[in-house]
Amino acid sequence: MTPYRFAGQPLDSPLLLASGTFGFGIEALEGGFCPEGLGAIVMKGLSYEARLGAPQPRLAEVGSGVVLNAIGLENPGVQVFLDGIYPRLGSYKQKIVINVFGSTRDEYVRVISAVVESSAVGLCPDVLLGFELNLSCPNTDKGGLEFLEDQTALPSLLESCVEAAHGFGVVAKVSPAARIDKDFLSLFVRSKVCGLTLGNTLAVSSLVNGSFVLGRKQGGQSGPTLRARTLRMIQMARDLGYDGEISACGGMTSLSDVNDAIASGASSVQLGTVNLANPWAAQEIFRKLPDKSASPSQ
Amino acid sequence: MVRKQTSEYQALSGAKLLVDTHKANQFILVPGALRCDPRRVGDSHLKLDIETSLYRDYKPGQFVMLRWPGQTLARPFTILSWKANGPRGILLLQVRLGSPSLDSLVELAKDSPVSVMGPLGREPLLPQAPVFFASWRGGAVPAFALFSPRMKVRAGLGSPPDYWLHGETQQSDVDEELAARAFARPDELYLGKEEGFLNAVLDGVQKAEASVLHLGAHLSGMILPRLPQGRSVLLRMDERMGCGIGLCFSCSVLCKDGPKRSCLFGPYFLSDEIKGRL
Repeated sequence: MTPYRFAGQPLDSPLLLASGTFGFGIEALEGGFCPEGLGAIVMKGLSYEARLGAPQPRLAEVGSGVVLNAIGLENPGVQVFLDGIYPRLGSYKQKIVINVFGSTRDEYVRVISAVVESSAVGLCPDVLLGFELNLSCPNTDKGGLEFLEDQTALPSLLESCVEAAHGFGVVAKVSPAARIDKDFLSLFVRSKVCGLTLGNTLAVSSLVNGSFVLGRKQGGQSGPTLRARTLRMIQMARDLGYDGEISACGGMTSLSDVNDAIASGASSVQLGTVNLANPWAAQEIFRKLPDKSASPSQ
Repeated sequence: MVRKQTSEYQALSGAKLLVDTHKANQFILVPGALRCDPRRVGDSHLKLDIETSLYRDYKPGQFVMLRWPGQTLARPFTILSWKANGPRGILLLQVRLGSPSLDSLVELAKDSPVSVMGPLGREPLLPQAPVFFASWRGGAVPAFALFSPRMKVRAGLGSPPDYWLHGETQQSDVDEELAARAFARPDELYLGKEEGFLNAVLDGVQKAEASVLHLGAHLSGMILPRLPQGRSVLLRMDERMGCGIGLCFSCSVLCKDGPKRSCLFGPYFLSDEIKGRL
């Protein structure tokens, strides 16, 4: 029996591809990419209405392994995804997670409801593993990070999303800047989300050498520099007694990162920035995993 | 808004557009290319001969994503040539220096391990009639990649040559080797400021049946609203790329029917289909 889980479902592999780093999966799958060794692909964040995204430039590598991005959650909207993309994913038998974003609580619920009630998912429910709530994207004017910082609005948002998911698991994606303490963790326990993704990109300034290197003054930092913070967040959550799922995300690039995350208490590990340079990174790591059925030690 | 965003994902009977794109762009990763031989060309350019473990057929105008030691992400570079060498290949790239992010490429030692993914991008379809090429600074390399094979064919057939206008702010930035091979007449090199160059480009577009512009993202955004409607003008939209294969949405161009990723649907776009830069 596998110890690896996400959104309440067992995983054949602990490795997921993080939201925003593998498109909608279909780009690679229809290009001949073989999804061996993947627990799931987390879709690019979906909102109810389409979003054009942030102004150019949207990406910058500024040295020392620091990657800044402000993509701005460009996406075609949930209905286009359900009509044009989800049905094609079914033929690849690749599990996916739908990452959900909204500017208001109702928008999160509308996205989840649209998915759950869609005929596409009804015809092919086994593709969908569950939902990941983007509560921590730094690249929007409204929503995302704001919900995480508003602990009066957060419980209502989480509970509404769990209810709308109608049995599909819900995981909350949290900022690496979040304060991990008992009160914070108890919010998620009470709302019955399956677990947490620790964490998202880190909200940072895009000012480098006197110029803004992105189209926005603020962006998200990703890449290997987040690794230690990710591991620390997992350790803190487990030390405080949190026994829900934890998906490690942020700075995970190699086999040793994966092993360290699992040893720290992660139930799964998401690879992110590394996918942009090497879309086969997860498969290379999977082949080297020492014992694919090993229990994560805590 | 939702309706206008559908075009990139529209079924087109099973998303034929995306399927066709990927058939054209079967990408390979060549980790640890066997040999990378960087050579300085003047002060402003670097040539890279990369011996790859595989050889891939490519179309003029396509690019590869190259990653070298010290870089987290790969960067796109136009393929100047990719030739078979037994079962292996010799890939030739040329890089315009000057950007701080390319400093580490200058330091690349011979035989450095690099990874290559490609060929990527869609080949621009050019007419038989003479084409007006325009390039500004670093745009010379992708322009040459298109211009050079046509030049040889047209000379062999006795066809009227294409015309290429290249712009630089100063003579010392000109790649003399490329100029000697490509620029036939003194008026094909413009030395001056951006605004004057754009006026010269617009003049060229008006006179030509078809044009291909390699101006970089900034000048492309400036010239777009000034281009005449209904003219056959291809713009190379060099938005910054993260992956080159449509995964990260970094390189989106705002088209009239919604944003499109330059790596998947470009990098060449018809000027009439572009709404602007995002």
